[in-house]
Amino acid sequence: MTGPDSPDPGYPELTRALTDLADDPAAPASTVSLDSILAAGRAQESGAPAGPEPVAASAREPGEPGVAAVTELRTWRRRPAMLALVAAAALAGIAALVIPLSLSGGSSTTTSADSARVAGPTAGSEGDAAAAAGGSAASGPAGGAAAAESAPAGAGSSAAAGGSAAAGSAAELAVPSIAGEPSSAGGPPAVAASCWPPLSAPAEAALSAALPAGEFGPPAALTLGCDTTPVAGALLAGQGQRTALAVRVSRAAPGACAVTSNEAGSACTPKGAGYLGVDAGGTPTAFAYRNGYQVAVGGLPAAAGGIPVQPGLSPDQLAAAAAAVLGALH
Amino acid sequence: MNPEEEAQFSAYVTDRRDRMRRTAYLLCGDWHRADDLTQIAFVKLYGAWRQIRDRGALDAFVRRCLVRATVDESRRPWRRERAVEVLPEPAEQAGAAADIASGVVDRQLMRSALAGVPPGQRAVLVLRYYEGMDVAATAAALECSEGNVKSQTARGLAALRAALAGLGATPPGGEQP
Repeated sequence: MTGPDSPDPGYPELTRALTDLADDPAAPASTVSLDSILAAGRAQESGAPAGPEPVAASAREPGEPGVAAVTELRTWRRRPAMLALVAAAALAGIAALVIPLSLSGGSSTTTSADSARVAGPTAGSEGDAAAAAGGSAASGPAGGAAAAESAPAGAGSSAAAGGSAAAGSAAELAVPSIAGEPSSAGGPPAVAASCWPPLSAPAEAALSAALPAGEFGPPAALTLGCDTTPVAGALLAGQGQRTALAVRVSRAAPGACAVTSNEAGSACTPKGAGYLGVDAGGTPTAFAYRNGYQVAVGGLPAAAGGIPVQPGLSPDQLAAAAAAVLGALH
Repeated sequence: MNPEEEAQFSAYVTDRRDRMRRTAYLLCGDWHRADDLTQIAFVKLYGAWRQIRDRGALDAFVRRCLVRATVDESRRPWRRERAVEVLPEPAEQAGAAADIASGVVDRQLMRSALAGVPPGQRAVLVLRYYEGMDVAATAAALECSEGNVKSQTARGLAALRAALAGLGATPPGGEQP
């Protein structure tokens, strides 16, 4: 035995020794039978247990595992890997649910599909929806007016009863939807169809600070259509009956004065650092612009029911509120 | 596996079972464990029968399974070597081996010496000197490089030599410097 690759003088003797060792006549008879191999092979193919132990258990020393035990141990070895895979899949599933919810702020579950569905209808369908909400057969702009007239009938009493509590919640104003949401006869207004996320806490705080104390209730969800590109919005119920203040933050070019598609740029004049728009119903709206954002503060336009702002709230106060909200944006 | 393939498999197993069992015995040093290893190797062959198109490679496949199973088994906690104060059956065998003038050690001594060789090196020795495989074939069977086979052969021979010397026997091939 010299080297591993060189001619080995010990090769024949080592081979002879190994052969002699392997050909031990005192070796016990083999317990490996063709039947046991075939049975184990078939069981392995079908995934079933290996069946009876092929090797005589009595011939094995205590504590020595047989083939079945070895197979079982291999299964145990694979089990942690399978558990890890299942755990990873579960984590991925949870992350796929939690991350979108946390990114959307947790309070609004509006999806792009909802936005598209809400923004889809045009002015023609606005009238239909308003007519349906009002229970009248009117269509077109007249339908919208009819809906505006009929809206307080259901909610006016509660708003009046609210009184000093800032006319209750803004939802009680039953703002008619201008999104063309099919609010079927007898059904509730399409509140859930709003695509205006709520204002951020800093924006709400800035808005509250800019408005006269006690004149408006807390910001509530704005249930308007999505003709513009909405970023956030809020509706504040006023002290007076059927008065409200709508705050709409959207993406628009400076001076666009866009609130809805059918009133974009109507009667909008520069005022201070922003613009002041007055719609056909005389409802003023202050606009402020920065960084591609438009903040519109005012009453609901005629197309949306024509709810006026609180009497006594000047255009300057509206502009200040718009500027405050704009300043609180990121 | 269809009946025809199963018949071919049965014929192969019947023909090679004893030879593989002996190889397994040399690899592990215990007949009962050799039975287990043989069974494992043939069951693996059963599962891979359709994938092995070259029937001449069947022996190599089974040998590879045997070596893998042997090394795997040797790594299990209950298979690990234990340090003992007194070597089992040392004096009688050493004396008996010393009586063999030709220097060929007897089976029991060779078995004890082989048990002192690490499993990987033992596999190299068995494949090369019992199965008669060259370096390249051994490397292919063990799925390692030829250089690794050479180094493992050298270390295995040294370990075997040391084990035999420790048992008082003359290593095959004569005394080494």
